[in-house]
Amino acid sequence: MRKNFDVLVVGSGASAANAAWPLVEAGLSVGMIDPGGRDETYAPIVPGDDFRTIRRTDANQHRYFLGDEFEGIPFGPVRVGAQLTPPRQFITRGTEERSPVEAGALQAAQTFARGGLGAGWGASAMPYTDADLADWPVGRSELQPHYDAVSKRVGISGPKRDDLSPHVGPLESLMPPSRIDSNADWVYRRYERVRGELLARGFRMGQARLAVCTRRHRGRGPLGYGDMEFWADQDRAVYRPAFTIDELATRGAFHELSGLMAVRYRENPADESVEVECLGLRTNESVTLSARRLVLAAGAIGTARIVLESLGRRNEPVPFLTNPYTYLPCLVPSRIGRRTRDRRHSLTQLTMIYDPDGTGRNAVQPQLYSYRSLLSFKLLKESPLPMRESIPLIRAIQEYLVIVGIFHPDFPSNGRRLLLDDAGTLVIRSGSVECAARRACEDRVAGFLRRVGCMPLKRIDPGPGASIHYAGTLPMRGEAAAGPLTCDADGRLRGGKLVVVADGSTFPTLPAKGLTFTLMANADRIGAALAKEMAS
Amino acid sequence: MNGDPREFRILSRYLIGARPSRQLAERYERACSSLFRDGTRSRALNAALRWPVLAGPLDAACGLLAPDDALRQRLLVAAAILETTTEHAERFLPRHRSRAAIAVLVAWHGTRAAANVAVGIACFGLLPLFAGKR
Ligand SMILES: Cc1cc2nc3c(=O)[nH]c(=O)nc-3n(C[C@H](O)[C@H](O)[C@H](O)COP(=O)(O)OP(=O)(O)OC[C@H]3O[C@@H](n4cnc5c(N)ncnc54)[C@H](O)[C@@H]3O)c2cc1C
Repeated sequence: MRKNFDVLVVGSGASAANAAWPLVEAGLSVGMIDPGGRDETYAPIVPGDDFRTIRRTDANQHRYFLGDEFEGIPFGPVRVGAQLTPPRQFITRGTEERSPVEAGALQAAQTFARGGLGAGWGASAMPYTDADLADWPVGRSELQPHYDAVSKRVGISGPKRDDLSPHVGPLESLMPPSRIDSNADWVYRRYERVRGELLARGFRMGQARLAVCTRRHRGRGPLGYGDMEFWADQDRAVYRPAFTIDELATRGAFHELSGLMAVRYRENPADESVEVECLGLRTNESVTLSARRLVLAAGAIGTARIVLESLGRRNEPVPFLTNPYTYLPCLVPSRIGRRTRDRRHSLTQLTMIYDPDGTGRNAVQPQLYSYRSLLSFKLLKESPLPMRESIPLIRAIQEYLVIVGIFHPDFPSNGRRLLLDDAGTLVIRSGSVECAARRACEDRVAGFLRRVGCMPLKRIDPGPGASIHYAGTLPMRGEAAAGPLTCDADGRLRGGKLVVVADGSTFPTLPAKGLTFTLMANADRIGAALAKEMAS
Repeated sequence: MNGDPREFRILSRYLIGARPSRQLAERYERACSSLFRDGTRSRALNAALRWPVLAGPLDAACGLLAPDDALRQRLLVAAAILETTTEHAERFLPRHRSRAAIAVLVAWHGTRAAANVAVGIACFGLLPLFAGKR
């Protein structure tokens, strides 16, 4: 194994892949340290057909729909990521033992997978605007070229203009929007009829911006509308960070160092190098690698562990952000009895923004999906009726059922903190939960949904952390607010010179929009700044 | 036994009115051993297996009074196994029906559900009397 690199990048998720890209482009030798977990069981057995055809013809379907250990049959309350189906469960495998977390009721999903959580993400890609970035040391204009670079790399689709445009800002090289399904089509038409009234009340709707190729792009796509996105990467249309790593792997300067977990690093100011101590996950042996610079992108939780361990900051709390999240299963009653287009995708169809005070700061983001490919037995569990009666009823109304997931913003003032204790366990202490304000806001969203023809049936609160959006552990701050365990505007960890952080750890706040498009743009920005500095 | 073939036959017959293949029964048995390692049972489950005609009423009662009862859990596993087969998938796949047909369907199954609930709640209350009886 080669041991000296210009740059070592820790992680292989959306942040790491997009931070590595400009470094490799600049001709630097880059080593990517990652445990490298993969799914070798299910991916090869999912056929390339659409959902309905598979259901009718594939005798092996139970293997990936239910899992070989029947891990796809859920018991207990709705918890983290219903989209983490058996073929996606490799994403979180193996983390509890190597990276223990004690988070009480909070769900802290960690990953040791090649491609990170992005191996199963829902690809909803909303950029942040200046209002979202109000407490950040960088604004949209600094991020803009990187949103554009990432759009070209990963492929973002969406409408050029609609009511969401003020909350999206300009995006170059958008692919045409994906085709929405029959429920979304209906709801959107209803919205158009009452949009004046809803806009005046701070509620707007548009088609989802998705990291999905709706036309052929870099050997991927176009989206085939087979409705299998939660189970497989059939047409490679939905962006996965592993695709970027595959592309990087074709460059001589890039080295994937799989099977390693970074434990701690040490900066050597004398020879301007940084050493990273890793654990070989197969051999259990320690491996030390060195480079001129280190980029940490192990996810907000993983990076915090490495930094706190390396700097000897045990028992020192850092902030922890995660978007509060609620589901509203809804019926679209006026569509009942109407025909539904069979070809569709399972991802977000419509995105909404409710900005109660017009500042953008407290805006929430509801997203609408249709329910089908996650299978109907999961709905049986939620039905209070006898199962025998539920089966035909669900069958008759399932096509008119939508799920609206509401994301709320999160701020460091929530009081939630993460620390590394003496035993090496990451402890996350839940902060204050503003239930009343959140509920009131959700009630108003439910009212808007009724106006556009969606009847909420119940409210499901899957608990803190269920959004699987984590951030804020080592926030970027301007010089005026600089402090230990913070980063500067280029992601450089204060107190040292050679380490930059390129993942969600650096986010000072967490707007309600999904963070990953901004993670990637910010990682690209940080990688580009580092490449520039190393060249000079 | 944890999830034996007879149990699956009774639950499938109740759920979809069909007799499942041996292969599916084996799959059910494997699922039960992997999901219910301690083999937890309940009075409602034992009664539904002893008197299959009570499966509907007891399921209805559990749906309201004890949604996590072993009977509901076993029914969920049986439904998941049936749904993910080519033989039975069609019974679960969404099917287009007219508004009127859906109204009739809702009325019919709603009435049956209500009747099952009424009988089921009475049976559920009587279960302790039969506890331990075989
Ligand atoms: C089901 C699901 C749906 C989602 N949907 C959306 C969505 O629609 N929109 C959106 O914006 N976001 C979504 N997300 C969130 C999104 O996936 C994450 O925000 C994003 O992938 C985080 O990327 P990351 O690279 O910063 O971190 P991670 O994905 O956490 O990657 C961390 C990487 O670091 C590696 N690593 C960890 N510890 C170590 C270590 N000690 N040494 C070496 N390597 C290490 C891991 O193997 C991994 O490769 C979703 C997530 C899930 C699970």
